[in-house]
Amino acid sequence: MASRVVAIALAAFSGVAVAQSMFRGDAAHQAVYSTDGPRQFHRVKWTFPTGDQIVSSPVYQNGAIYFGSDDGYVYAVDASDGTQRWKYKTGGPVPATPAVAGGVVYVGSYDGKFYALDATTGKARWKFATDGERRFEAKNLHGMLPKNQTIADPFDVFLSSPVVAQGAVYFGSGDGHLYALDASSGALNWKFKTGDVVHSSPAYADGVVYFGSWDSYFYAVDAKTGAQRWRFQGGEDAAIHNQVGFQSSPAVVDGIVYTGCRDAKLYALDAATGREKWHFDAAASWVITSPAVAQGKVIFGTSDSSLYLVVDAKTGKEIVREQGKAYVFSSPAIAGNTVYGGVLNGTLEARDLASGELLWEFQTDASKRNAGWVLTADRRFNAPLLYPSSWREAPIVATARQFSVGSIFSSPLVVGATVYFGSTDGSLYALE
Amino acid sequence: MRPPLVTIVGLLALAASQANAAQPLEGRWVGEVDIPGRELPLIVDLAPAVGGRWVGSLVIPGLGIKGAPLADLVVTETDVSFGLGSVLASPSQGPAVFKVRVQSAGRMAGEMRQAGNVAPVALTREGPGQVEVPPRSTSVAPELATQWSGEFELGGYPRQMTLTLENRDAGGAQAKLVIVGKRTSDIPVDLVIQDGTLVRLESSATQIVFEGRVRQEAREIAGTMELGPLEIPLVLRRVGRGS
Repeated sequence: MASRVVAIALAAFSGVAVAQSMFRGDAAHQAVYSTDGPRQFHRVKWTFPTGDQIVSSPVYQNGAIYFGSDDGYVYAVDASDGTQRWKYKTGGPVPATPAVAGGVVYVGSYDGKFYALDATTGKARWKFATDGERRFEAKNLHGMLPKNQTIADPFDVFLSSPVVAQGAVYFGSGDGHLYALDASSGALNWKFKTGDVVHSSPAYADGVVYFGSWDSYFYAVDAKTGAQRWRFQGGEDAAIHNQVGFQSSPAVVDGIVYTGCRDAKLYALDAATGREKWHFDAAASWVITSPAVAQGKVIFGTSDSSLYLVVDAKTGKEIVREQGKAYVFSSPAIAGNTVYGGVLNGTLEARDLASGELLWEFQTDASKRNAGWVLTADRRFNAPLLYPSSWREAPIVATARQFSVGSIFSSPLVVGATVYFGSTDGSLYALE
Repeated sequence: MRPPLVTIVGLLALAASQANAAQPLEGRWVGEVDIPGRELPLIVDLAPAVGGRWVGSLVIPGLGIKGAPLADLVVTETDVSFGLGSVLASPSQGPAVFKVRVQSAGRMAGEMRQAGNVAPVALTREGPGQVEVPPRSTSVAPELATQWSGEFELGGYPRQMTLTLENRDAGGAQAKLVIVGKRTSDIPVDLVIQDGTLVRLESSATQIVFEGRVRQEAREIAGTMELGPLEIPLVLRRVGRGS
């Protein structure tokens, strides 16, 4: 019996976990789900309310949906009816996406600890203390005033989501490190220091861990030793620190690493060497979304310019450009011929993969209420009412208001004919 | 003979009512816009001007708006309507617009439309109007009335700015401002002021302000450009010869 348990555990840890059990589906973060997903919206199957906003993306294994909430809990919810299986209290908000492997749920919290929880019971297997979480911060950040005030970035919304591969769990931290822990014991295998916050979620492929840092570099690190294979520098912005840093998480497909960057570019890098194959210029708009890759296409969204873009995976040439209404931070997910993605105006969109055509959209009740006229009547952000001042806390308050319309940061999960995602209205949604 | 007190009070009341009858909508109107989830305090100042026209300005303390001129102001015996120009304007939905109607003496109610949203407005008269007159463009020295050009960097990309100053017959100078980066942007300029060697341009729609000193025998204007919260050093050099 014991040997059978060991064998199952080894099987789970020996390769890449199954395709719905971690951020962007699997360790390579391709974000392609092996199901068709709804081409039409039929109904809200269920909603599951939590005590605070949900930025975390849901993952699935064995009939359960796992996700974190900013109320500090990690939740396991029955995928079929939305009933709670268990919840586990951490010491801070959980805007990270859990990874499930070998019957264990792995996730980090703003309390600076990384947790391994039993997937069935929610009991803690082990905890690991990092050097502490924090948001990216800078003086005169985004032009916020006074100039000499160090301000935490209100748009640094995600925590790094772990990837599990080859018996280890890898994740980034606000303390500037990428950590590699033994997945079964939580013992530190190694940690890799970067120059700033790491909230990008690492991807794993062929013995290498890929991730970006807010220090402007994108890294490839040997998964076993933590030795740097290469690093690639994105843009810098010494004046207001707006156009710098990798907040997007990479996808690794066919020897190419795709990642967005706050320098307003999507990069395609050679996975072996780090050499740039091409970049797509997103016209001064952050690429926070993590790209989805399928059928030779790379799909991603942009923030201020609010674009839905599809480019050729080999050349970076634009294939589809659709003008959206509001910032896109939610990373797109592909199921069959449909692409699902959230928008910060509280809308979930389903688009045709080939044409980019909007098939259907779902608007949260908070978005429909539009309290305080956060949105214009056509669901764009109402900038004159939101951002009257760049001084002191005004932009921070404005950002909090902006997120009051049920913003969808969460990357959709598709299981069968159901789409799952979280919203800043505090609910996890299941649509079919 | 002293007139009885009641007569004096009666005469004063009559005078006041006649004044109100003449200009019942003049004054400072204080109230709020009842936006769902966010009540917005509002002060509207109205005053009659020459030629039967009206002028007005607006204060919204919560949004940093003080003395914004009322655009397209129409005042009838019972109704007031106005827009706010570029203030609170939405790129996709156009300018903010107010329409209110007299409900009773000293009270008006109506609606505000902003960014396609509509909310009720209620106003109460609280004293005489304190209309703010917006600053007007001055004319500029003849040697400045020409084309100027400079470069700056924003977000890691170089931008080219071209400014053309021109004196009008009346109403001071006007400016044509074009910034070329990844795309070409025509910046609407509301205000051009020259005060000695100081030159200031304001674009309220884009929150762009340029302020600089004329130097080098009017061959350059050196100063800073404010782009919202950003402050960027900028030297404009004369391209044309001047008028």
